[in-house]
Amino acid sequence: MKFQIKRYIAQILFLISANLGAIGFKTGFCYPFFYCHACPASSAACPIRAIEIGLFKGSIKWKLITFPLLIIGTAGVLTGRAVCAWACPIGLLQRAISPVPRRIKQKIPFFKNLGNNRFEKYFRYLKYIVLITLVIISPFVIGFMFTDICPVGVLVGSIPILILNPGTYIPNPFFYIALIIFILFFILIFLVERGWCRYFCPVGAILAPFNKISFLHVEVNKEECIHCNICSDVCPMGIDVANMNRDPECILCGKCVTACPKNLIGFKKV
Amino acid sequence: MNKKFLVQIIALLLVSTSLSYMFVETDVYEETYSRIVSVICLSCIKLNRIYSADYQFDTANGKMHPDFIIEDLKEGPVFLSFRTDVCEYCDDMEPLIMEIFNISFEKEDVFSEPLYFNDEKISFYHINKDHANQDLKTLQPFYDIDGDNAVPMFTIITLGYDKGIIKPQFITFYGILEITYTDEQRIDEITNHVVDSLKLYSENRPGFIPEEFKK
Repeated sequence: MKFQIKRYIAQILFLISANLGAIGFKTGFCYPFFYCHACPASSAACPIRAIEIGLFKGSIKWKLITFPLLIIGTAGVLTGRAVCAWACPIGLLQRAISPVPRRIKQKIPFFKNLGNNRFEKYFRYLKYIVLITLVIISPFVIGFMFTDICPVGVLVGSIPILILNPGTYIPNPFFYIALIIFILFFILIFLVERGWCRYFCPVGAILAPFNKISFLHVEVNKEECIHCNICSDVCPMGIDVANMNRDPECILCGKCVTACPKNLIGFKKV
Repeated sequence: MNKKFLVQIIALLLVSTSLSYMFVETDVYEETYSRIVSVICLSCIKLNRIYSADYQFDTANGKMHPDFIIEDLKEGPVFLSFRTDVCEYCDDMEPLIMEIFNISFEKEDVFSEPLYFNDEKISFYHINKDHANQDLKTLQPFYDIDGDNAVPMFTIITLGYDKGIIKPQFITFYGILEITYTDEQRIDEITNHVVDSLKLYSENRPGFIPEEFKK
């Protein structure tokens, strides 16, 4: 079976397991990826929400803060950011959309360098800023939380609840602000492949540093590399794969592994 | 031994043992479930329930009313207020509830006490689900007509006449009532419900036989 088909199967299985609440299977776990517990079918808690509640308005509830971090940390130590490529439902959504930003880049000259210019690497720090300001500082100081404006919450929480309960709920004024952010989220992922993972995902920001020490990682044989750049072209995260060394942005999707004409890129354990 | 491998082993041991310890020695699993997974915070999902408050006799979960509610109904109507720690709408509504009943409490408080509204007795329950005991935590499904465990949720239980029998009946309303209401309108609306419940109670109390509704 082709490697990328296996990844599709893994993503679909994780999508199903994230939504087992639809058949009444709800747990007290946190997802190790980005998904919303407000989804009517959710089976676990959003890790970001747990951290925010743990810090809400000056209260420090260590259990709620450390629990999601340890779940994400365990996944991170074992597989680095592979969760983003193999398990995250929002990753699956972006993967399904990914032909669109690729086509846009090829067809429209204006967008050719989008997600691939010299300033782009600085934009990637935005997700750490989001994590620190909107997930940690803002809930702790003023009670305003990232999940209040989370586009994924609108996508899998608010909108399904509105559809499944016609005539029961109405949006409040804050919904429309979140809806604008949700629209921007969609514009982003239609223009930049994996735009959410690259620039804004706070779970990705927690997972990214684990790439430096994870047991599983992608390794390039730099000595024999012919620098054809096929690996970088196929990389959904826009990494300079040939020169990477345990890059925090690598989501271990394996596209470069299968694309390398010389078989010089591979998964390495330990 | 390779230095990086040592770091990996230490990191793995650290996260896995800490996680195992949390599972075994703390109630974090239950807390995550009860505080996050099983609750819908209306302000967090940026929705408000379309306001309606109609009396009904059958509990939302189809079970008999809890015995302590029936016991309270011997004395007067019962007012239930459900919330969680992190809930903006709850924070908006509770000062109004305090004003209506002329009481004061903190958001973390869990208590039940008799109050007097226009010199008539009401049993008031303030239930913060993050701090409540099991009896009170499981009270919401009896009166949660949406079945979503949404907060804030308010229920008034009184007595009513149904096909020749005097029974407990209740209304439940969620969130900030009508979204366009001002605080004054919200106070008036809830006050009207309380006054109605007292009127229904005084009309029906003489025919109420509590023992018939105990398990």
